[in-house]
Amino acid sequence: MKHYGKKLISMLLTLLAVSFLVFAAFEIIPGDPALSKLGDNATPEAIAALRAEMGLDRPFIVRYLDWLLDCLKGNLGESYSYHMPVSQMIGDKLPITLTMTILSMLLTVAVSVPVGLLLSKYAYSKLDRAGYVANQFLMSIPSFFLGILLTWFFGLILKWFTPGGFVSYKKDFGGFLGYLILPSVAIAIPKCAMSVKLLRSAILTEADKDYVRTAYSRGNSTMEVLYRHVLKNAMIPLVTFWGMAVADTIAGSIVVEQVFNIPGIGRILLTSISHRDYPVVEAIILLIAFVVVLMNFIVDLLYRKLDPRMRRE
Amino acid sequence: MKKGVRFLLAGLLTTMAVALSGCGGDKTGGTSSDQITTGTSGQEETTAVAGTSGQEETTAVAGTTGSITIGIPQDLEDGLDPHKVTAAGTREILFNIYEGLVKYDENGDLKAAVAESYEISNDGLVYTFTLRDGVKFHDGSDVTAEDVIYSINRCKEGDAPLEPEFTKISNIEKKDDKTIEITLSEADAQFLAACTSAVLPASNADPEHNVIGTGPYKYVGRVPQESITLEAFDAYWGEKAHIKDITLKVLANPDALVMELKGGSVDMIARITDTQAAELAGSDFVVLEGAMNLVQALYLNNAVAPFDDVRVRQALCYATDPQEVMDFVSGGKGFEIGSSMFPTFGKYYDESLNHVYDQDLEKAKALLAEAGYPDGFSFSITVPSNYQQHVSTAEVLVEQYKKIGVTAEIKLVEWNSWLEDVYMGRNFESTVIGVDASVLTAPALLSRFTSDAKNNFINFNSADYDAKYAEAIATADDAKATALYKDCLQILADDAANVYIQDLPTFVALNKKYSGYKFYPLYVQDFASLYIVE
Repeated sequence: MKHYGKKLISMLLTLLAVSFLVFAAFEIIPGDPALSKLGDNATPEAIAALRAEMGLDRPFIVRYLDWLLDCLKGNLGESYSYHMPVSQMIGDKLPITLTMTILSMLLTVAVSVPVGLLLSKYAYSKLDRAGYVANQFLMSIPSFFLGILLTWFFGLILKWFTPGGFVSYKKDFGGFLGYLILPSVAIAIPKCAMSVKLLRSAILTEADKDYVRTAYSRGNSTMEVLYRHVLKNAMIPLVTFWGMAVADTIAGSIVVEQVFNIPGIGRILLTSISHRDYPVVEAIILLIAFVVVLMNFIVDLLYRKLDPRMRRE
Repeated sequence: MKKGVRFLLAGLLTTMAVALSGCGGDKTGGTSSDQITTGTSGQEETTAVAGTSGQEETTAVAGTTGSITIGIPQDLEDGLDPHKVTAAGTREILFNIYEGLVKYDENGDLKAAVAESYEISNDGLVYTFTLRDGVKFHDGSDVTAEDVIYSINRCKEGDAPLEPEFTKISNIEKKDDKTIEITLSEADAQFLAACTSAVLPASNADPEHNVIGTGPYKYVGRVPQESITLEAFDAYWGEKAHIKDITLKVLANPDALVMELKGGSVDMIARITDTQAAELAGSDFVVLEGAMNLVQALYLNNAVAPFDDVRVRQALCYATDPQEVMDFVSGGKGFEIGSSMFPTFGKYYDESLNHVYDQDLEKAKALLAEAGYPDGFSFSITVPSNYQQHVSTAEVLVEQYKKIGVTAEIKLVEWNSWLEDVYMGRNFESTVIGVDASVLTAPALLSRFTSDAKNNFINFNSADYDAKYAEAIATADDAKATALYKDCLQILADDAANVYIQDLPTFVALNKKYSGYKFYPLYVQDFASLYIVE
């Protein structure tokens, strides 16, 4: 348990550091929310008035501490652009990006594990070699490009779905899920290819080890050896990768959401950065950082589940 | 400058945009010429080319009915308070929700709106507005003289008044329930245009969240980065809107616009490029062509060497061929300009100024030699990277200036940096940008070039210009004032204040199920004129 306590503290410190860095970054990079909002109508007086209204006339450290204190009280502030509470905005958008992440992870796991097992079973055969080539190919296509191809093929040629026909989950959940399938596929394909490669090589490495021979000599069948012993060990690199993939999907939603015109977290982040909408950017980056540390934490938990040796420390 | 508009349109995925539209880059729209309706010099003359299902021949379905989904390139990111928003992309939408005492029509003329009529005293100091009967706010209440006075006062108070023109009001008085008399401290030809400023109900303490206007459409709701919904206002005082429900869909990805249109999830997009227009050939869409109404130029910082020498500026003008820029940037479309005035503003636009500097490389070299740069010089062009058409323009200019031995280097900056360093800080050598007019008056375009103007970011300094301009705004006689403004434009051209290039073309894609789109000579979208084709 002491281990988890330590982990938790380091998680909080990471988040604190991230929040400070984001605040500091906006202090350094050029641009100002008041100027951004006023554009070429800006006069020094108007900028000053708006900065005061936004509370930007206070010193940097005061603003940061104020924000941090509000944050701890659960108040993330109000968006400069939309005049809505940031928590409400994120609450509305998070289900969209999260659904896409979950769908793509389900796809990745559901496809990559059977394919990986199949390829390692027929290792060095013609099938395996074909699989290797396909894998290399799919791994190297960026998600956004796949997204454009998929939209063009399924949307404009086959007309299976309407490009840009996103419907809100509040209006029509079925339609919402339906629209997110293609983006999820676009995200899942490169990740799937990577997972297959990892699983195949991990199984082949493990299969050469002594404990496998021992397991066989005790009279286990191939299936038993695979599921009871080899797979458990082979899953470790895969679980690590999947943990990273979840964080990567949320952070990378900026690009895929842009391609498929999905109004999720990534889109809000992108536009908020360009408008210097600090409260929103700060909250979303913190959220992404939180997902990253949370996934690390979960992966750590899973290691211990998969490999009892790690529990003794 | 259309803040935000082409900013997001180009987006952060510009690199991607270039890669993907590369294949269509050399299509000059020739394939779709049967679809594009061409205006000759101005937008008002836009007519349908024979043989297509033109706009003008159709009739509307009677009554207020149906719905339309209109794609907009960015969300209304600076809010919904009509007195506080500044982004052109926001103002053009709010045009449908709010009205002032007067409002612009599609010819750019001011017509009475919330006011039924107005009178201006001979000395230009007293404006008497008579309110229209039966004008209602979207919440159902009547517009009263108190509401009008409240709205004007809201814009004139404080250290940073929301409408600077209103600070010239010395007295505002309610004569009776329907009459308001406004007295100015000095005559001001721009005052009436400022009266397009929205009338809000005095009872509404929070216009940002509680959107109540008097326009043909009322605000229903919004989801950030997703959509904004409007509904026709059934108690509108004037001609009611034809289409009942409007969904404004935020289309953040400029590369997906054509796909969205063809896929049928969007019925209209007001600003597409000539390449996108060409891709729509043979589809269910009519493409209409108009102008963006801005002055695109290579703006030169007149205060820094070598641009403090008029001969150097003139040399650049002689080295520039606007037609080549238009060919490259917008498939040969676009409207050449020779000074700070765009063609749709016909009253002041003088076509002859386009020929002050017809391309003449020998003359350019001679002027450079005379100014002490026989071997040319180097300078930088700072361009906001989000405006693809300005970046492309700069690229063509770089090539053109090589021919006279001048080396230009393009410096791409983010929009916010541009605002801070170039526009506010005036820390630049040259920049390519489009400057627009927020209201349709000559001073909206010309006041910035007076030597003490706060927004004179090019540091233009001409005593002659200052004198002419001061005389123009003080002149009550319109014909005289017009002549003086034209003199100002002549000075800008003769002094080569900037290298003037063009007013950029813009294209509207509209599904053939709809018709009635109207171009305005300023940056607005009039949704009330759209109708469903019977």
